[in-house]
Amino acid sequence: MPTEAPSGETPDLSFLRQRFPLLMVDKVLSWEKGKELRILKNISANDVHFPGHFPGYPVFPGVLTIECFAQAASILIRLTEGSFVEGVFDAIGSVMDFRFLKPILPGDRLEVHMVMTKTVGLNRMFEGRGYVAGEEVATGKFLIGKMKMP
Amino acid sequence: MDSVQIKSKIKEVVGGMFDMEPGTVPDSKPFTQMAKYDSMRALEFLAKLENEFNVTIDPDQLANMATVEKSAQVIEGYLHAH
Repeated sequence: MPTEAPSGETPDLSFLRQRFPLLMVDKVLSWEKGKELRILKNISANDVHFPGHFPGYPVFPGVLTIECFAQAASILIRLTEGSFVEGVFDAIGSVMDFRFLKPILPGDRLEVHMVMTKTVGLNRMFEGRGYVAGEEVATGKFLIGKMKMP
Repeated sequence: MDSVQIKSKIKEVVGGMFDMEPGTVPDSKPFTQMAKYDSMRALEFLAKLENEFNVTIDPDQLANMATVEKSAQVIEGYLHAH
């Protein structure tokens, strides 16, 4: 069974290299090492991209939904591996079959569920699903590998 | 699906991954000798084959899937097991 994150606590996410405004995970809801993880991303009307995407009709950009899924996968990898090599981070190798099912709007609470389905060496495959208010809004498969950052 | 059809579909997958015409993908040249082939592409190859043939492939099988011909044998085994 997934481990429920204690209320008000979340794993140390400082290993993520992303920072504002590209940090796409607000909270880890639950996880099971090597298997699955659920995260929460609150979509705020104050987010910097909404004035331009789109004027008068703010929609959460699809590329950021993909980024949100990828960061969730990265967290599960870190929790699974339990170690961190300085200068090496997880990077998207491939995004497959990604489908946007409903627009994600300001005020939505996006819950992302990532399942680790395969591992080959240091590369891992994931299947992800995003939900708003229990309704599926996006799905996709990811390959995540390692990349060196100078 | 016979082995010729399986090989043909695998060549479509490989062709799509490496920008090659499926007809020019060799039967027995190891993927590792193809430009841009690495462990990430190997995992992508597995994922695409799973979609194409609607099977779940054990990653350990990658060692037996070094070429189109060998991959076809593995896929044939999965298809016959169902």
